[in-house]
Amino acid sequence: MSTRKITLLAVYTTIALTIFMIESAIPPLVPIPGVKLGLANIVTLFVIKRHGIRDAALVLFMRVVLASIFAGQIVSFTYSIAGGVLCLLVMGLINFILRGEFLFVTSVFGAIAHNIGQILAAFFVLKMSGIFAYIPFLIISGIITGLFTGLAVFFAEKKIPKLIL
Amino acid sequence: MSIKKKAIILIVVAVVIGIAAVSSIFIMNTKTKKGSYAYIYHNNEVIKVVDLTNVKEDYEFKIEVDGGYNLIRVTKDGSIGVVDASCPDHICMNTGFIKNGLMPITCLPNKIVIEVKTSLDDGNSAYDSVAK
Repeated sequence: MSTRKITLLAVYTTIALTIFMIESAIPPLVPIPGVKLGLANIVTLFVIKRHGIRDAALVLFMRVVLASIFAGQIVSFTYSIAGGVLCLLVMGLINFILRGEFLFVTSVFGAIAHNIGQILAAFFVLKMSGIFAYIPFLIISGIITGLFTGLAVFFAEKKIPKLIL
Repeated sequence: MSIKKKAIILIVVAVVIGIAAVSSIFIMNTKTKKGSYAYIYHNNEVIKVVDLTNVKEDYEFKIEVDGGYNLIRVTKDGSIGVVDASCPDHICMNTGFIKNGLMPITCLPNKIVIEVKTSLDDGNSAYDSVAK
């Protein structure tokens, strides 16, 4: 991997981390664990679209590790990584099927996958079947936030010039 | 198959999932009865069962786990809620008071779950045996 590439991915990680930190400062809007805007996902999808899923995985992993160090507890690392990985895989697959077009569709499925991944992780941590009652709420929130982040990536993709590596 | 067609199929799938989610919330809403016992779990072990019927006066109690705490209040109208907690996000407090089994109160940082059930040994046993 060239120095240029490493630097570029570091910049993506920084942007994702900054967005994540600002978002975690916003108090939760809905009293359901796992419901949030998921703005950091904008960066993940952007990197998938521009550079492919392998680079996106690197950015995602670094962001989750750093965010757990800065924003809080070890427990949240489990939930973030489970949601993040599932989201990444689903978005990678759908982005492949749609050949990088219709980003909002990719992002909606990514957001739903993220929320379900978090609930599954929470299930393995808590061993409580009761939390599955949250799934319908998390799917709806995933659709709404996914549409929003998808549009954000669509416009960012248009405006940000492609770098030559 | 063209990309546009695939996209339309995926959009339809998303819409169907969304409709399923909305309708399941409706079904859960109409099916749930007012509960009478609150089960408080930590790491999937029942640490306290609270009788929500015949509460004469509001009262509070504190649950302390792994260096964190949740202050829980039980009210006269038979509902239970978290009023203070050591966790950073306070989602458990923002959930407010619950009186039926529709939605549990969850505190992920402290691994506390509060569920309301209609009877002392109600439901979920199929899931619980799998979980154990």
